[in-house]
Amino acid sequence: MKVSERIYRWLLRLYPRDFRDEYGEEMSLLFRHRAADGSFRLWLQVLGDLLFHAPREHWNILKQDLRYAIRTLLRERVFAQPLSSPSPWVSAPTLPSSAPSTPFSYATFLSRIRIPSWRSTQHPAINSTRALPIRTISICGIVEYSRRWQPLPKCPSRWMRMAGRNLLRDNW
Amino acid sequence: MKKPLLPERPMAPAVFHILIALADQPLHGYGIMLDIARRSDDKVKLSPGTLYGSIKLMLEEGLIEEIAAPADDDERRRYYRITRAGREAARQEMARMSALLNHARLTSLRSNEG
Repeated sequence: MKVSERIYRWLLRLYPRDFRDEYGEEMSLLFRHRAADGSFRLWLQVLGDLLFHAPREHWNILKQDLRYAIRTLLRERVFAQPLSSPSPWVSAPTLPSSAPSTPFSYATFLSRIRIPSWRSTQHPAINSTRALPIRTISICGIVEYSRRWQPLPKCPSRWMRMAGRNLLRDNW
Repeated sequence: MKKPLLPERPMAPAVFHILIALADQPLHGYGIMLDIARRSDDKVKLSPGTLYGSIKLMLEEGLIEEIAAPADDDERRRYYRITRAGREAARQEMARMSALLNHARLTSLRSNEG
């Protein structure tokens, strides 16, 4: 394998992994054939590919992920509930328990942190929906919980400590 | 209501080139590139990223489909064939470009005036 082809194979890493797995081998073959013609024009084109096409492929994959995540969110009964619920606080938009894509995984992680002293029996309004796991709670749910049942600690650091303790106890 | 000059969205040139290349026979990626270069007297040579980016898009939109490679060919090569939807899309693009040309011919651009 020539040095130029090795460099090209290395540069292919700038494409998303899915795209590379699918077409990387053929792109390398094509590059090898084209390299025989003359290299300057080819390298200019490769540069253009890396500047414009590689980011576009990343963007396409991100778009697909977002579409999938939104579809998943809309399928969740709990997420759709605010449209029909008389109490907007209790059934406010809740993050799903298993969001599929990277941007949503952070949200999922945050949404799974149990609030301090949380007990499932204390809040029938939230736990009445089977689609919502007990450990999942929305921000609005926390507000409602604290308003109705038990005031949260005033000090944010203490609240964080308690939430962290609950998180560790949950065997993640 | 006045009919718009270009009712459909123009197709990307690379996509149209690929559809033309696949119109008469299935080809692999490199074959597509060679066909396009031959038809354009080496003026159009698609880069690997443009070619396979377009192929991916066209596969997703159902304009082309992948078929089994001939037994005697390199197994790493993947062959593509135009679909019925692809033919229809190419015909629409031809009609769009033809309409555009007809409009252009009605102007002073046709003759060597001015």
